[in-house]
Amino acid sequence: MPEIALRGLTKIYPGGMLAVDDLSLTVPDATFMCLLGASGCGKTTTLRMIAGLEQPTAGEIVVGGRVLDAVARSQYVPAEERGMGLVFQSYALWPHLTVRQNVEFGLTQRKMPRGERRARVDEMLRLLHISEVAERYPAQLSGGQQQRVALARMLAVSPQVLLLDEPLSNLDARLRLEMRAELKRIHQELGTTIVFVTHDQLEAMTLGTLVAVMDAGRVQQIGGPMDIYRRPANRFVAEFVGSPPINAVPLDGHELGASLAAYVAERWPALAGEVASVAFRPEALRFGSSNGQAAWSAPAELEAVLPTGATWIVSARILGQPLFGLTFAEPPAAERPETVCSVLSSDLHLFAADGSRVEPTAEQTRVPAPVHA
Amino acid sequence: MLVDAVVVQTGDQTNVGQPPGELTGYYLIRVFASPISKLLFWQPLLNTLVTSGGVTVLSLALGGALAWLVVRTDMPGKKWLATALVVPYMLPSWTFALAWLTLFKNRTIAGQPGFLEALGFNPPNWVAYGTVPIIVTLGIHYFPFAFLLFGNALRRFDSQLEESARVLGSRGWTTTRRIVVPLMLPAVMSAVLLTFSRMLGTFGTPYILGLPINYNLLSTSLYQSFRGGGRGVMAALSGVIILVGILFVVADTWLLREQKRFVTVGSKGAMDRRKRLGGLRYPALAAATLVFVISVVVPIVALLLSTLMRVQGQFTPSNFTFDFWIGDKIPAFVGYPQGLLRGRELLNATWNSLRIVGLAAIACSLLGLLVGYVVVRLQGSRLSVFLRQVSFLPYLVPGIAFAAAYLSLFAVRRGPIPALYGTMALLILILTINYLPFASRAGIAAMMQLGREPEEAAQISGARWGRRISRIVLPIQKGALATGVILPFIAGLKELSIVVMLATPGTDVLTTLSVRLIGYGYTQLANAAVLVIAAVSFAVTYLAQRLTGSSLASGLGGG
Repeated sequence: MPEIALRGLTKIYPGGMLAVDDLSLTVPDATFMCLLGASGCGKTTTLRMIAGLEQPTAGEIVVGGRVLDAVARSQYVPAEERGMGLVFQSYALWPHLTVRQNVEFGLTQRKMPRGERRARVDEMLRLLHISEVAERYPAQLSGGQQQRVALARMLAVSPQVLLLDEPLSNLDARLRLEMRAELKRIHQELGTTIVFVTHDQLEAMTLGTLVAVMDAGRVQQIGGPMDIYRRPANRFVAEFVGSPPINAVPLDGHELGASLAAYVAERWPALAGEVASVAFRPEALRFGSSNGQAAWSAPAELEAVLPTGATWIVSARILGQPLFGLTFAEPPAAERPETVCSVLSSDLHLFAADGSRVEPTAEQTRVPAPVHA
Repeated sequence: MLVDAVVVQTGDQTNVGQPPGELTGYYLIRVFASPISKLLFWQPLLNTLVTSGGVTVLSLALGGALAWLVVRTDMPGKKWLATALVVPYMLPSWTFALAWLTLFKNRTIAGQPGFLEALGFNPPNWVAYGTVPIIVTLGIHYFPFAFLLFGNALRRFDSQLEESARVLGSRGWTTTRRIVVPLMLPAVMSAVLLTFSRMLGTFGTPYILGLPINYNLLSTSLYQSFRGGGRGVMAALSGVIILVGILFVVADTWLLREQKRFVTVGSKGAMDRRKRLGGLRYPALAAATLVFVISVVVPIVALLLSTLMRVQGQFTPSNFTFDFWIGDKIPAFVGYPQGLLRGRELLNATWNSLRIVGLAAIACSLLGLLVGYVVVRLQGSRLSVFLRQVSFLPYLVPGIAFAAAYLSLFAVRRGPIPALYGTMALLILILTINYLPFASRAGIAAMMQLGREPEEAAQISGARWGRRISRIVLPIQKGALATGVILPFIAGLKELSIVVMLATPGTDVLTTLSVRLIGYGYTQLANAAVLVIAAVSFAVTYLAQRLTGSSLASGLGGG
């Protein structure tokens, strides 16, 4: 199973729109790589370039040691010779062919003998639990079944690389969860290298063995899902990943900023000039009396509590600013709206003025900071 | 009406040998199995099938190629061509026939010479009249149908369907053969159906280009029986035209029974890939422009020139004149002795056209929306299914046969309905009914898009039906309503096959006026009249597009 290497990949559409900007990325063998980003960030264009459906403006694509694109040497292997699999968001099933014919199409192209072809189609239909709809047309299938057919069609030809373009976004919540589990199972079973494009950060977190967060045609951070969640490389990644979203506070302009700025100056005096904003996850915001550890704290006013079942989302006003908290035990709630909140210093993410992460070293940290009540 | 074909008609007693009103096989025998039936029926039938087939093939080839160039390639000037190539359809169909005569007319018919003849060439009959010119002139009139339908289908075609095939290793031609062609089939069939059924009922062109050599289609044969007072024969011929239409629709439904299933499946097309033409870009543009020049510029310029010449084809300064437009008196033109723009005839005819067609178009649009409302609100009920199917009727009944049917129905008093022949009301009624199916399809589509929610919201706020319709549904649908008025209006302005059967001197409209002038042999005046129709039709279309932002393409909506 091959490794995918993108080097200095750039795509400028006719009309001057810069979709992908000097992107370099390596997808190791047998990885489930999620390209995560908002719409228009260039993730789909990147996928289409890997598939050979778009030609890069500059850069190289090398898959398993085979050069597929090398703009500098005018090398380009057309999509039909790349031997990949690609599933679209709309599935793009051929409406005039039955499920069986759809799945069989790629095998016919490869001139597989008839008997073998039939056996392979049956195997694929079984793998995706769609044997009983084999003779139906796509219009007669439910969304989930169509999705499975699209997947079976691409898996049938045993591609070395499987590319998925938001394949789950047209499904309802339950089916989506089922298909996620199914995709993970198929990945483990077949060991294919998968590139999965999505704008849904939960999907990227749950599926990917590696996640690449993209913005404005560039990769902002690559890493394991928990890595990205715990140590976002910049403010964009911090704010994009996580739900409810991270609380990001610029250190100027209002009372809350001033309080955090004072705390940063006290704890990391060497970094005080560098840090322009601070962010913390909702679950890092604790309500009630602080436990005496190194933490920033401030008075808080609870405005609303939104139970989700397993957790509670708390909307609070802290020093005049609205922030979100997330608790795993029932919060003090309405009878005691005035309370205290705190965030451990280890849960604070520091960012410089250009948005990049500031990582304090042990020497830069002064311990322990006095506790404010 | 079909009863007329088997019942002895007043005035035919002596020929048939039976009293009027009695059952007879006389007309059927006369049409299908008598010495003159070859002339009356079999030859026209053959001619109709040959020309319809020829026109269909020509217009599909032209329209298909142009649609591909405009939608799927990087040819320059596409935007302009997308509009320009629809213009031939805005001109009355027989504009091209008149232009053809102006250029290629020969000594077979009397009157003024054609341009070529005047320049010293003598075009043979097969170039001047009959099959070849009818196919060419109607082919360039009808190709916009195919152009629009193919264009829409290609534009809607989800390019991911092609890309999936490519990713699976299928090369260019295989993809086209196995994926693109089968999916384009419904559009092809729609275009064939639309063109062929129009051809069955077309009248103006075969009348102009066929008559000089006694070349008849079913429609002109029908018209001649009508002029000759042969009501029984007329009924038999209408029956045949309708039958051919029905057979064609049945064949079409049968062919499409598989494909219909997937027409509704669709998804957003991705960024579509355009074929790079490379060095062929400008030759392609030149070819497309040439089609525009031949189908629009040449006929209009030829007609315009002809109206300015005393003697056709003689390019000397003294031969040019504005007399045929604004002259007080034209010597030797007895039937219409003054310039076209002088005197009351043109004004009357224009006013009649606008009045009759306008009223019919408004009625049509309102009724069409109402049909749409009923179909959507009563979805699943029998009435809804029935109304939906009735909207296919225009394919079944070509206009001229339709007019013939109504003629025999309303020529005499029937119950409470007085004899309507010769009244404006009859024309309005029949034009409304003729275009209602098209308006209904537009109405159904518009109401489908709206859905029930806005009206239900009003219902919950306590508005009754009348108020909901007048305050919610109609205002939201005013764009659709405007399109629904304009399309029948344009079609009606150019309509000839129906009005030629029904109009009387009292209800002279622009089209009948121009046919009358052709009948007199006043080339210049007839050509001028057609130019006036073309100008009015074009102006209305242009205004409509500017005002409503809609296009003819969306109005045809998959035909």
